Amino acid sequence: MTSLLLILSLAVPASCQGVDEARGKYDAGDFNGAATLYAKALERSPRDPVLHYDLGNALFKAGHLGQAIASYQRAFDIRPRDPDIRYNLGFALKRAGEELRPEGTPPALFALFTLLSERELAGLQWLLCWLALSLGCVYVLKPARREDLFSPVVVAAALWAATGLWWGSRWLLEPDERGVIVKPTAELRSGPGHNFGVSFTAPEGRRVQILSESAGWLEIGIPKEGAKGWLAADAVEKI
Amino acid sequence: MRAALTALLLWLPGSCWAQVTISAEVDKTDVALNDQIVLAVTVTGPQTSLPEPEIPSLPNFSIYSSGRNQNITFVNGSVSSSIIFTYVLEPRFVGKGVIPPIAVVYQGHRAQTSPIEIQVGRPGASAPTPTQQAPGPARANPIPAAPPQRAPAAAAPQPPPRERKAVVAGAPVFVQAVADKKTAFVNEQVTLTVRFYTSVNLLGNPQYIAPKTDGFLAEDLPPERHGNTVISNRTYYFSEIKTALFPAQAGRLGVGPATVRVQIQQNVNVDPFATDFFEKFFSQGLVSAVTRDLVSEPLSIAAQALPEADKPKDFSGAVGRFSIAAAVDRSSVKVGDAVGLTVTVGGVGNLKAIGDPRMPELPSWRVYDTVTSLNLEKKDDKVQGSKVFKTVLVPRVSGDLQVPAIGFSYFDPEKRAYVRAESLPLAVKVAPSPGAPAVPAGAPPAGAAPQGVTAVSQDIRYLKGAVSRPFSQLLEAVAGAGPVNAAPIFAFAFCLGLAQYRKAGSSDPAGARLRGAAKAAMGRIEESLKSGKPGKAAALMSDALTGYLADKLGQSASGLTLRRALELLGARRPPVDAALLEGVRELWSELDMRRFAPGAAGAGAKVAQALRGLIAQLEEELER
Repeated sequence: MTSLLLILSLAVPASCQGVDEARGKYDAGDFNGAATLYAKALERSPRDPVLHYDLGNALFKAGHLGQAIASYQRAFDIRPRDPDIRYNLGFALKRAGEELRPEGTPPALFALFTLLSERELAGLQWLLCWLALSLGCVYVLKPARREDLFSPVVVAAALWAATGLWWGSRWLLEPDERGVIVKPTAELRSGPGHNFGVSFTAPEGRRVQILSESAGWLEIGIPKEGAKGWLAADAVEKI
Repeated sequence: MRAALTALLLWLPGSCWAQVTISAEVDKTDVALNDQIVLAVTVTGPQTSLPEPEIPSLPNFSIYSSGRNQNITFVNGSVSSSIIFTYVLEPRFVGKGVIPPIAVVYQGHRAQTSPIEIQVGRPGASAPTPTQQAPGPARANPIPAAPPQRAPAAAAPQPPPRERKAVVAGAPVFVQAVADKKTAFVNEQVTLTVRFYTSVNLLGNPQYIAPKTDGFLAEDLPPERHGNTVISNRTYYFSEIKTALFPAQAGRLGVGPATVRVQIQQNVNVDPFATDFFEKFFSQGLVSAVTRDLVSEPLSIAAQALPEADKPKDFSGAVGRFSIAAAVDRSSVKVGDAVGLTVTVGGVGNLKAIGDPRMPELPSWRVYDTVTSLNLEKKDDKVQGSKVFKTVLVPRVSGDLQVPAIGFSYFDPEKRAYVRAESLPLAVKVAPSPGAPAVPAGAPPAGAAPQGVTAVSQDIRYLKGAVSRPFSQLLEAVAGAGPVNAAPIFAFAFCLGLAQYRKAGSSDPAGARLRGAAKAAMGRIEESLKSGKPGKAAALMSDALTGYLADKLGQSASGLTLRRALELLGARRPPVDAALLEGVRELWSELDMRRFAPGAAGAGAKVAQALRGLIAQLEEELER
């Protein structure tokens, strides 16, 4: 276990290659240059939330609101409890007319619900599964120790069940495929092509569900407004 | 005649110096060292030209002028005005400070305010108190609620009942009123021209009574014009008065008749056949004066409402043509220094009716109240001029700050559309403040009182450094393990099966003994081979065979003999093969011999192999 943690912690500095240069460009005001370097660093460490966050900052400062929100969202998906990631994503979403916390959701509940990423929840659920079933095995095979093991087995099983429900609800609520509109005032059409009329428009930075894809066009859903339409694929960055 | 009419129509200013007064007030008397006080000095008098106050030395304060606002009122020919001079004071020291009397001197006369005491506290320790006014002889409203308007015609003294009728052109004297347009937008200027024509000598001075203009805001358009003109081959002398009318509401609005009261010369009617000689004698060549009220025809103006379509959000009612300009009095200051921002809206239109331009968000500045002054010009029969909005800005932070463009929306009646004018953005370099001002000896030190957190601007947070997240990565690694995560489920299932098996064994000991006989025997054989002593090995192998047969036959191993074992095997149904029984007999005997006979070689691998084969054959035979 110790060696595993050591290996995992040693893996972090590897993702810092080129980051210093990107930070220098950011500080100098070359936000597009910084974004390019951050994007290259992400190719080496695609699951580094800090790189996604920094890339979001560079894109935001460069004026690419939609791409910035996509990067912040990726960082948030990996490390949702980070206060800086949460703040910047919320800040950028406000520019796009959206709120990070769904309307009517108590802040404490939202903070708790998004405390762990979906992947972390899955891992925690499996760890608790291991723990509960291991204790269960001992409980089954050692009848003499059942009295001592009963409470730990029940607690472990309850934690496993709760985490499983939490993970399951997150999995159910999160759409299968998400994206962010990256073109200013995107026009959503009633079908996959320019020959279909414009049904409505959506601002840059709005998070959308991707429902289907057809010949370079994406079928988009915006649950808040109950809107649905087709958008050219290059107008949406998938998350 | 001309001089007389002019004298009537001119507003004659009074010359009563004794009515000039001065008062002063501050917005608060309890102030923190880093705060500011707004001092308003009001000079009031019965003339338009008022002297400026003499601001005394104020060693305890830094003082900045923040502009002036003049309010002029004309009522029935008398004028009164007041000027509010506004200053911003910044305390320099903690403790009690005094604003000495502020005086105004005019023509050798002096008036002054009473001193005002200011309590200066440490930053963050002051509590604002209600406005206190220094006692003074008189006080004008420091910020007029509405611009001064000419007294309405309805308030004019009503003339005594006389002949009132409109006299048509061509009569010896008559009055004519015309408007330059019959339709106008709300707040658009309509010019009303009233002309008085006379072709006869008048006795006394004519009096002009302005028409009723209910529903309009009226502005005089001086000067009066005079001249001669010929109408229907008759030469008239005329006087002309113009008034700008601004419809205050939509609908059909009426302009009442303008009235000029004149005294006309009229010969005395004398009866030439009168018997009274003296009457006839003294009335020769006498004339009498007849007073007549000459009135014009009333007018009607259709006032249109301003269009609602495309009306800007910041539209405040300005109609005409305007421009906006902004300027700061200093472009390089330190944090906490005052910067005067002057916004000037100028143009043609009813400037009195326009509201303050909407200031943009200035989070980096502390913005004080706006002081407004109005400069009206009446040129070319148009009301025009400028309205000046002065504000004091105090930078909260250092850096290259900017006052963004300030917009002003108005309705252009010629274009029949709303227009937005914008000032240019202004740049101000703000240097960091060197620190709090020095504290005089004896005064309590101005300690660093805790300051509240003030949001200056909003932006995203800065880049993050690399973070170590071993727990997250561990969880993610577990989540990514895939099918491995199913192992505990299978393990648990196996444990359940095993437990069930054990449970079944404990509930049927005979069956368990029967099923475990071969395994136990094999174990003993393996043990015998590992013992390394032939005698002991032979004993263990003999025990293996005896134990196996006892387990299979449900007998005690210690009491089982060869004979009894063969009987029981032979009694089984189906019967055990005779050759196999013979094999049992031979091996049993051989093991006994190897075990007990003196000098025996003991049992080895060969015997073990034979014993395994025999047990295997018995297993098959007994399973049938």
